[in-house]
Amino acid sequence: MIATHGLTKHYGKVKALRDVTMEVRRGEVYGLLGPNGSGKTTTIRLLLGLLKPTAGRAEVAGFACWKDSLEVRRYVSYLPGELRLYGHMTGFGILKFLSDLRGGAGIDRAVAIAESIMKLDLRRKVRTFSTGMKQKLALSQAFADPVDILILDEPTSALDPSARQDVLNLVIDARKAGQTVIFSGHVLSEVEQVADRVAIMRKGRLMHVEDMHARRNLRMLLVKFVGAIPETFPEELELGVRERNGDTVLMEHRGDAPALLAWLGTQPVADLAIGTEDLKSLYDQYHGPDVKDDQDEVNGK
Amino acid sequence: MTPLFALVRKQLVESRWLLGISAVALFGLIWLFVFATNRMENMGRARGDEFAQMRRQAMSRGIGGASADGSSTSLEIMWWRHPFVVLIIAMWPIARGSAAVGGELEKGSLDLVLSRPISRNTFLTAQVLTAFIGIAILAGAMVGGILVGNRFNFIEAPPSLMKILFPCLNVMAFAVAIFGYAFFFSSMDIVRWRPNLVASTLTLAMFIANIIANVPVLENWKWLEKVSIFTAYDPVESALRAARLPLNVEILGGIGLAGLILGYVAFNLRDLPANS
Repeated sequence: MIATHGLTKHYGKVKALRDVTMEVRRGEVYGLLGPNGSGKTTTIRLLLGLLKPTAGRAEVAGFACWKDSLEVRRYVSYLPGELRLYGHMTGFGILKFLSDLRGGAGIDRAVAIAESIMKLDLRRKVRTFSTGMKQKLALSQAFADPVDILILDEPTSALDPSARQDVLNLVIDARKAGQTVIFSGHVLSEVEQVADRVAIMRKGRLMHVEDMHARRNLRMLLVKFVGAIPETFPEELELGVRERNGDTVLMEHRGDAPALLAWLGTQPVADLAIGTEDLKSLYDQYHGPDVKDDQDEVNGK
Repeated sequence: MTPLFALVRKQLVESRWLLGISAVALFGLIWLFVFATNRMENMGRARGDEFAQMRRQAMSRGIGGASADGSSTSLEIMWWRHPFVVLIIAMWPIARGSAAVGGELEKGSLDLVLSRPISRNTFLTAQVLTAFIGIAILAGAMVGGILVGNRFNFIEAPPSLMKILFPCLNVMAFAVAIFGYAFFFSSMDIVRWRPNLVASTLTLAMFIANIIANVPVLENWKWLEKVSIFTAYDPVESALRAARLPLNVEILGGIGLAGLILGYVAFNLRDLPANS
């Protein structure tokens, strides 16, 4: 549905995006993670045709993002990260204006979402809205647009906890309805909750793409052996060693649980702990305090 | 509602105060100047001598330019070159031109609009249409000011509507020229203040250049006429003879059109960064 190939964007000497190749599949929620300045918004603006790539190309629904930007935006609804609405308009006026820019489509649904889910009074002038209320208003329109793709740049940044959950539910509903969603954000738990795959960006590079379904099957095993740790592990168990420390080993396991337990029963195990790993651990591999500034890797897929 | 109409309506609502106040100010000023014309004519009649007639001619030429002949029409229309009137006319195209792209980018509202299926050309066309509608309203206010002023003040030979429409065309072309370059500067910028400043300074510089070029003792500076759009803004000539009106409109319209074309090209080729 969305593909980039060697996508690069420089602003003078600043390399905002470097050789990013990624693919977003139809109907999936694709999380974009990274700190400020990592290239998330630049990627999104390149996808919308607001920026011209320095090198590489980007396509949405088969259309080149720069050359056929208008066609691309017929397929896409976008929630900007830095939202500015027209203060002189009422809430309804904004929804009407935005839907008029799409030929009048989606206004009824937008009003329904704004009033019943977001609990907004659409008769009020937008200048009297709080930041969160403005974000809810724009989100109502984004989720109401009859489009195949939603691009949400930090959609929950100004929202209270209950509204955040409402937005995540709307994202899940959008996926059920077959929409493709790009969800950029800083709150890892939210991205973890809704994303099918997550891309981690750093300094304009795509560092890693994680399949969240596989990750939800991931078990972390901390095993203390009696005596030495075995040199090798049976391949069919799909065990990976993360860290060895004396007679203790930290392993990740994505395979069949009964087979793992059966194998452990045959081993000289002194102690055992089985748990899961959240997205933060993965994120910290690229952005944690131990990561050196010059650490760059090639694109993940 | 079509996207283009929705954009035009939004921009007109946004700029209603500037447009409304400018139109009312122009209407009032022009009406006031009709009253002033009435007073000048009354004074001339009271004196009834040749000196009064000469003074009337000299004054109309001083303000209205070389074409002014001291007739009622030239006395009424000469005020269209008064700095107050020029200032109000210029404010609208400079404000709208500089807001077109730089202003929208600075506010951050361009993202919202261009995230919808709106082509960059449609967006710009909405800006241009808004500006032109405003220019027409301002010109209409000036015509209205004269017509209403003539109803309430005795003028010896008030100009016909047709005679007012010619200078009106000149005023509109003048405003289009200013809008053209302000729009072009804005189409390349990310803030509003800079194109606003550049366009205002340029307009002021050309106004001063035109004055210097027409000071009788500064013959060597006559060439400055050629670099000023104010040379082609001659409403009195447009009302009295209209011989130079087609050329003046072509020059002013050409400058405006060139600005628009360059603005469209620049905007279509440029990056649109997040708001500054």
